[in-house]
Amino acid sequence: MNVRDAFFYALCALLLGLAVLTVAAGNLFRAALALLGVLLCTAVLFLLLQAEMAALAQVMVYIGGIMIFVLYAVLLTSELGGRMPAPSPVKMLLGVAVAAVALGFLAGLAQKTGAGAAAARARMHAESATKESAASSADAEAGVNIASLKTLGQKLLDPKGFLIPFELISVLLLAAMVGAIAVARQGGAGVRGGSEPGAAAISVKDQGGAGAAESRGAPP
Amino acid sequence: MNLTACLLLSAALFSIGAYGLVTRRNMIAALMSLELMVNAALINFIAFARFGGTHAGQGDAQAGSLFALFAVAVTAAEMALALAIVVAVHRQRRHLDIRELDGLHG
Repeated sequence: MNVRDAFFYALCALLLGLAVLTVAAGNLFRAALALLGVLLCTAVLFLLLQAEMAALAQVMVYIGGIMIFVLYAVLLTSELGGRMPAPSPVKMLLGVAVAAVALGFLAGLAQKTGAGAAAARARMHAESATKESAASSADAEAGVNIASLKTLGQKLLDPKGFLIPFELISVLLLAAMVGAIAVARQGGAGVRGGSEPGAAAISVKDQGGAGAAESRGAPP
Repeated sequence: MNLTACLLLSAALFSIGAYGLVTRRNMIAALMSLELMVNAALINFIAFARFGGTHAGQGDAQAGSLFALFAVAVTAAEMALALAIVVAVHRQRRHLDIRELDGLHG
């Protein structure tokens, strides 16, 4: 086990510990801080996996944007030192059962996929060793298409690449922004949606009543 | 560090998130558990981009990174809306207990 592997496993342990703290902490603010740690560990993991763009996006969007949102929401809606009630034993048992089922299923899938990928890699290695020189196999080992910022930017604006989802995402973000403002603006959509038609109906009835009174009052 | 280790890490993270989603009663805490699960999915994207799946034997690093990027953007949109709803609900009801929020029950 070399240094990189050791670092990877230490990072995994830290990440999972912080994740457990996120779902189990009694204090909401502490849970939010643990979630921030999880996201930071994930960004480091992305760097370790040579995905620098994803790491940057993780730090800027998740930690710089979403976590600030979450912290604001926590501070707005709950007192700082308050403790949430612990879940009931039945609920906890149910949660453990759901988590165990998910973990069993996904871990089995992970083992199978990992073994399949290793087999495919070995097969490709053998093919390239027989067909071509060692240079191509070294290329394949290093990963030929490097996800550098430059190539990613070109791919993002390439009509044959990811231009359409890129533009669609901008529309989605705009819609989400407008929607968030509309929902959060005054008392929430539920209150406004519930009261406004009622108010309109009342005013219509008032007018009708006034009109009826007028028409009744008119003949004499 | 190989594909299996990354996938196992993501599976564990997803399960922890699922546990939180089931047990938490506070709306924001449930959303944070949801974030954990999304994060597990992102780790999967990047792991497959780095190590490759069963078919090609080698990942498409650019596609993996860009998919993770799009997923992050979609999550940002989702969280913006969700937290707006949280603020609106709290303003109206003064609590965020998921089990009390049954206004859409017929």
